[in-house]
Amino acid sequence: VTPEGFQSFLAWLSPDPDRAAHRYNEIRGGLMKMFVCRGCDRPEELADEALDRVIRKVEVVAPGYEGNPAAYVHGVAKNVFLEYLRTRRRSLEGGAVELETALRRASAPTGNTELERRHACLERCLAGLAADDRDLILRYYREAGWAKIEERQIMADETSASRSALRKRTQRIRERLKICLTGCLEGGGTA
Amino acid sequence: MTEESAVLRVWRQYLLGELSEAEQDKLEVDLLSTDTAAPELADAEDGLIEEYLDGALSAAQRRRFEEYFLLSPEHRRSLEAAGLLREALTRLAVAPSRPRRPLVGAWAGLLAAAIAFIVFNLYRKAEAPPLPPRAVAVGPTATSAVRQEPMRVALLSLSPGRVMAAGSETRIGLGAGVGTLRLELIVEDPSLTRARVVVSARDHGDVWTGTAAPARVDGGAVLTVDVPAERLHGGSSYEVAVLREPDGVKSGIYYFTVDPR
Repeated sequence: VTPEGFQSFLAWLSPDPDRAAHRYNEIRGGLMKMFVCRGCDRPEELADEALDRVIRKVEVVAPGYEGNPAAYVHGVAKNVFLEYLRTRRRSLEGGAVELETALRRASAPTGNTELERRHACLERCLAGLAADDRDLILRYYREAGWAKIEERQIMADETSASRSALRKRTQRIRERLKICLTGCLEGGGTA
Repeated sequence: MTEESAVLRVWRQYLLGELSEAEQDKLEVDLLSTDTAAPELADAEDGLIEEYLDGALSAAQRRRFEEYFLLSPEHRRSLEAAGLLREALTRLAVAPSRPRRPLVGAWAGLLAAAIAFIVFNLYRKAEAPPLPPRAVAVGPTATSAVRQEPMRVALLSLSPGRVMAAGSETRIGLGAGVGTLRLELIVEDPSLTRARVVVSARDHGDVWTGTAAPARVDGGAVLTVDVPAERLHGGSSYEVAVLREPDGVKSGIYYFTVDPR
């Protein structure tokens, strides 16, 4: 990929350089998500491969192309995906083991020391939240089974929010906690 | 259905691999060219994972989730992280239950299903010696009682496929006088006529194996097996696999935890 090719690609996305840069990042992010959703294990590499192929051809393709450049990029990305499928040596047995591990980790109890470490990290991360966010997320997880579903409806009613809005808010809080918790645990529980 | 939920439904179908290629292409081009698609996709992902951990997906959706959605290593990591977070939050957030408000609207269907299930169990228990009930199990989809004399059998009814965070699993306490844990497994597979049941501890491997035939009732079936209590350890979590005979295909998975004695 040459700098000139890259500039031509950006110009194809938008004549406004800032807008073009934004579009480039949007396309790259979208490609990575697409490869993730198609089960690929190297989404970033595959996204860059697709973009490189488009950039190498942009000066030939762009002048005669009508329509959304993203659609063209998507077509190239599908070819990259098909090649990935052909060359990937997927060990079905290995995949099954990984899947089993993920399912167990998502549900398995852990030892006391590990639990204490997680609790310590989580308490630290919770302390970093705004008070109303902290109350909300703890209440969101307070009940189990059907009682939890009912509790969440009550919470939505109390805040005049839809269950969807409530879920989105808790999703954002969980995402922050997840990042904080991961960092804390990887840092030995001292973050 | 609101426009928002319709959009989320389509993204869920995409994540479960349920769309045609043309529909999939259209969504992916949106993903590459609009600001709104990525957050919608993230919402759908989050919702799917939460519902999976809640055990709220249908059997077919659960299968698609495990066979397609979890093909992606990134999705497997997301599931692990969600399970970790849920486990920790659930333990922190446990508090006494608040009084229930009256159930209305959509909850009526759930209530009806629960009542039907309880009535079904009462009917079954009526065939056995009278039971002085002592509640020992807590958790979703569980009903239990301990038969004091002469059978001293603890009864636990389980629904399949509940992958719960630790702490929210179905739990049962086995008192000193209990000799048998009778598992009543709600069966979803209509083709099941006979099955091998394998009970395994998460950290000690298989602890008991037996065979059984499901009893048919209106709208479903129940598989009943008696597990010697001596095989079960307090504080351990167990997985129950139902394997269809004669081909050994896995027909259902159930989970429970025995309280420390």
